[in-house]
Amino acid sequence: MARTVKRNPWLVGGPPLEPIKLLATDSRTWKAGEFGVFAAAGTVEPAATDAVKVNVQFLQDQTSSTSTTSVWCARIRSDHIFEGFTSTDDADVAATVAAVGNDYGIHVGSNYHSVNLGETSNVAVCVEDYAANYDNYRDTTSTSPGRVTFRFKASVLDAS
Amino acid sequence: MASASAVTNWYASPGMLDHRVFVDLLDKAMDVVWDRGDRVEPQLMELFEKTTPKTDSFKISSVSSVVDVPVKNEDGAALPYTQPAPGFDKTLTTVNYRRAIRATDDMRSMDLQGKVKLMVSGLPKACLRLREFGLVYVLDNAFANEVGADGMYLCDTSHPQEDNAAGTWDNLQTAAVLSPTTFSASRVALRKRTNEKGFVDPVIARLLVTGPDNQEMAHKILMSSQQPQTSLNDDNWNKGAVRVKISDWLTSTTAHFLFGDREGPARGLIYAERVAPNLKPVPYEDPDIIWGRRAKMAFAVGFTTCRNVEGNAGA
Repeated sequence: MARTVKRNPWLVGGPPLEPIKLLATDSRTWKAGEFGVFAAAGTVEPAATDAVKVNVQFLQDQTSSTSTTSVWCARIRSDHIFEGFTSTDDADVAATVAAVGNDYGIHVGSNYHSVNLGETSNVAVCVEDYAANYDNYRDTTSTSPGRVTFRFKASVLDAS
Repeated sequence: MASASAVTNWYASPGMLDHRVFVDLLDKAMDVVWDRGDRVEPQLMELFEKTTPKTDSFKISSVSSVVDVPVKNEDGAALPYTQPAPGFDKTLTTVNYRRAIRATDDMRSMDLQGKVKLMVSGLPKACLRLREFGLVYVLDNAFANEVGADGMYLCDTSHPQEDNAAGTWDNLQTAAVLSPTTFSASRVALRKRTNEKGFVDPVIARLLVTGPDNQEMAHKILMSSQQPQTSLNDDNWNKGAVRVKISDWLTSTTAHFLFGDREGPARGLIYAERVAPNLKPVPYEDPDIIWGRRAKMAFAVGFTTCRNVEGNAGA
């Protein structure tokens, strides 16, 4: 019954995301729910693995973009609480109480963003809770990939 | 087989129903948007004793009038006194569960199909589904992980009797797939159940609970006129003996449980509901976030000691 079919993180707490249309970086594509950053030119593009700068979450798929395309995305705030799956780099990993309160990076796989429990240097998020606790009838501490709720660190959202 | 990747929905969840996500509802060319439905049938509640604790902690124990039988004792001799055994106690801690949903005014006004109200109406069934998750959790963990008032699993081979002089009792069958033989063995075992003093206290089988994988075998066991899976043409003594409850949420594909005729708290399985599922509106500062609703329930599930069940992990 555990929920293990992977998808990009989703908002579960705090204020709703505030949609905004921003210019996409030329030739970059993504799927809804991926996290994005402002590029040097002011356009938005998907974040890189373990990036310490994250600004938006994409609200729609982008199958082919050009420099003249504006795309729906939402600015992330530090009081937004997301839920997402856990990994150590490309490998699925269970979520336990040991992750709570600690800072981790965001791993970027193939159109799939997860909380990288193996990355404690280039950190972007702080884990708030783990699914075996808040969704205790579905997940256990051995469910893999696990799920956690997390918030972005303000320093990551404000990074230039 | 076609590849699903080309059609798989990748949808954002911005924390509210937003017209940028539900683009089909805005499509003027769309002829039909149908309701995928949400069927949640309560299945296991009849096995549980429902209680309504006032606080977040619910503690339950038991007493009994079962005493030792009289012994030979002549008038004038010292009277042979006896006393019932104390019960084991169990504490359940209720937990709050909440979920909320909200929609934007744009979502409502651009919804050409009139479906937004339907989409925000799912919280009550989500609560029912969680309750079913909780109830089946007890059966999913009947052979490991969760212990009852006596410190043993729901189905175990050596439950201590309340009177320890009476030894132990057993409600765990040797793991084997559901068959006429294993069903009969469970039925007989229930009938041989003993009470806290070790006296026979028969439990009459009433309900077979198992998963969908065992539905066919359950039908054969309980509906055949002759003994199934033999060539003896014996009458099927199990025909119509009990009802069947197929639990669609049961994780195990092989486990089967035979429940008896005990009633009330003697059933042993407890559903403690401190807050019944309820909905309340969620007010927002932003007037264009509408239909905010939150669902809440607070409950705990667990068991004390359950002489009413005979369990078999199946494999």
